[in-house]
Order: sequence, then C-alpha cells, then structure tokens
Amino acid sequence: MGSSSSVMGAPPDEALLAGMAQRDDASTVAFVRRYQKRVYGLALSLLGDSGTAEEVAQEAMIRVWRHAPVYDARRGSVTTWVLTITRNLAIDALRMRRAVPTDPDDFVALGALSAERAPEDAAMAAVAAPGVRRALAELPPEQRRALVLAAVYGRTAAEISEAESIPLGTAKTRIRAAMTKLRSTLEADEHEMRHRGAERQR
Amino acid sequence: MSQDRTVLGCEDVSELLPELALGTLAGRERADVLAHLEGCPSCSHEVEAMSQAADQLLLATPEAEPPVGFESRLFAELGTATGTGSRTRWFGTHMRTVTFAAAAAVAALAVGFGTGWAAAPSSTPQSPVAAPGGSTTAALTSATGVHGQVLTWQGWLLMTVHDLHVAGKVTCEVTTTSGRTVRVGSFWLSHGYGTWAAPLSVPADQVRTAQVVAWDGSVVAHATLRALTRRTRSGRALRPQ
Repeated sequence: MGSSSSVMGAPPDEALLAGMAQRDDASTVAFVRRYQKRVYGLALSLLGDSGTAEEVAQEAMIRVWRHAPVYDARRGSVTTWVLTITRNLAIDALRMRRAVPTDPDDFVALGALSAERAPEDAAMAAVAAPGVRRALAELPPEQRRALVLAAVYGRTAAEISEAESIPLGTAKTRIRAAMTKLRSTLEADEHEMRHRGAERQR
Repeated sequence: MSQDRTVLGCEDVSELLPELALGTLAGRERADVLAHLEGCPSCSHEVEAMSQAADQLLLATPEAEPPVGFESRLFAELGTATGTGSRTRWFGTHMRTVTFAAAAAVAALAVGFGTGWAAAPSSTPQSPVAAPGGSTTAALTSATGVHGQVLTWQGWLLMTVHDLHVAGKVTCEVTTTSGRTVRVGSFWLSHGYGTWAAPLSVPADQVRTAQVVAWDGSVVAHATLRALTRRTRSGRALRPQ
C-alpha cells in the first residue's frame, strides 16, 4: 500500500506516527500538515458542508493522535487508517444529524473521477487514483452507486435497497459485481506496474 | 452465545465476502462469515484483497484546503502549539497509577455484575460508594448483542468485556454531555474477554457514552450510561434504581 513517504527526504508516515505516539510535538505538527488536506477533503466530499467537515476533520486528527500508540502497520497503511477513521466519523455525523449526504454520483464525479488535480495532489494520490478512476468509470452506473454507497458511505445492502428502491438481492448483486470488477481492474494495474518496474530495472 | 452455530462452507459465505470486506455486514451474517474465516485461509485472503480494493476508493478522494485557523485550533486542542502537552502529562501520570485501587474496583465490579449490584460493605477502604458526580452504568452492546458492562465509579471507569472478538489492542473512549470525546485508555482483550479499569478525567455525571474502539477507529461496542445510584446515609450503595 502506498504512503506519502515516497516524497524524497520526508520522513515516512510511520516515523511521524511513532513520534506522535511519543507525544513529540514536531512529529505531530508535521503529521497534521501532511494529512489535513486529505482528511478535510474526504470529510467535505462526504458531508458537503464545510462547518461539519471541519468538525469531523478535527475530531479525526485528534483520534489519530490519541490512537497513534495502537496503530498496527500489519493491518494497513497509515493513509488508509487515517482516512478510515475520518470516513467513520463522517458517517457517524451524517447519521447523528440525519443529514443528507452528498449524492454518491456527485462524490464520484467531483472526487475520484476528477482529473483536475494540482501536481502535488496528483503525486499524493498517484498510487491509487488512476486504477480506481478507470474501474469506477467502467462500471455500470447502478453498480457504481451501490459500490460508493457501501464502500464510502458505509451503507448496508439493506439500506441501499431501501434508498434505491430495489430488492435486497439486487443491492447485494450490484455490490458484489462492482467489487469483483474493481478488484480485477486494480489487480491488473498492479501486475502492469510490477511488469514495468521489472523492465526498468533491466 | 455461539454454541448452536454451524460453521458455514466456502460456497455459503462467498456471496457475503464483499459486504464483509466493505464493513457493511452486521449481525448473524457477519458472525457466521467470521466463524468461517477463522478456519479458512483462502476466504480470508479473498476478504483481505477485497478490503484493499475498497480502501483505494478512499485513497482516491480529492484533497481540500481546510478553513483558516484549522491548524491552530487543532494544535490548541492537542496542546501541541504551546508545547504544554496537557494531555501528555495526564496520560504520563495517571495511566501509570492503575494500581490496587483499580484491582479492588474491578473485583467489586465483578461481584456487582454477578449479583445484580448487591450492596457492598462500606467499611472496607475500597468499598464502592457513590462518588461526587454520581455513578453511572450501562450494558456494553454491539450489533451482535451484549458484550459486557461499563461502570463509572469514584472517578474511575470500569469495564468488563466478553465475546468481543476484535484483533489487537482496543481503546476505550467516553463522550461527554457536551459532545467532547475523551480517551480513557487502551487495553488488550484475550479471546474476546477482558476486565479493565482506568481513571476518568471528567466527572462521571458528564459521561454520556462509553465506547470500545478498534485499531482502525471503528466503534466495536458502545454503552449509553445512566445514573446508577444515590449515596445512602448508611454508605451502602450501588443498588440499581
């Protein structure tokens, strides 16, 4: 899994997190500055409201700081961990306030499919984004919605069935088909990247 | 809880694996799939691969510039900008003081759970009496049922956990009536079981909920606390209302 440690000369995420776990102020400041745009960006994408997004982003960063001592690298990258915490808090905020979430189609259109990134942003997301964009773009719209609703908004198949006015079995089928497609596209990308990497080394 | 459960086969669970990987499977279905995964490396690998694919969706979300003052408000909250490290000191001192008082409290808690909060003698130094701010209690629950009990008592938070199968270390947090979330501490569960106590930094009557948080920040069990007792003149307390 990618981390932003690929930026030349910058300490890896894991090192900053370890420093944060020791309550080292410099590590905390560096970590917050590295992640605040991503955390706030995800919260804003999900909530669509800057005030609530800021509250969620603040709380996410505080939780990361608190839980830094129990971060387990074997269970995923720092980036995934931080964004999962953010996503879970955003979903809680949506449920608690009974707020209307961003439409999943908007989320896809404005977010994952956006090609208009600043170069430094593109570098941060370069590992993940192209494959995901293509995989999402290639999915039938109804499967794409089901996948985004489940993977990003944390909706269960039953909730998707209700929200989309479709039978539960159809919701489950859409999720499964979309997930299968996403996985195969990403795995194909990974194989291709490995192949290119091996060729470069020759 | 699971004595009459039949472990399902690969074909039975294959349709549910995507939802498990997405974290949207709950209740009986989730428990059944997890039971199958314990003995099936192949399906476990499948779920892991799907989880990584799902993670890519989060990684592809766009960045956005936070509002002005975001950083300074956050650093002030963490005690970082000023270097005061207020929370650091709190943890550095208080978490190491989980000593005999905690052990006694947990013992009292265990007795209380087993006997429906029968009165404990007030003559012993660590006997449970209602603390200023009041004691509160609640069942610790998740989507799959009851997983233990939470009690706040004399400035301590006490927790017993059972059948909560979460890998690694878990964190206990409380949310106050004003909406603030406060980390109480971390502890290990052994085969889904644990008994644990730690000092509270907020008055018990301001604690609205307590939750057990897994390594990834997900809330795996939750309790909404309510007043347990008033202090009696005789000092004999901890009786349910």
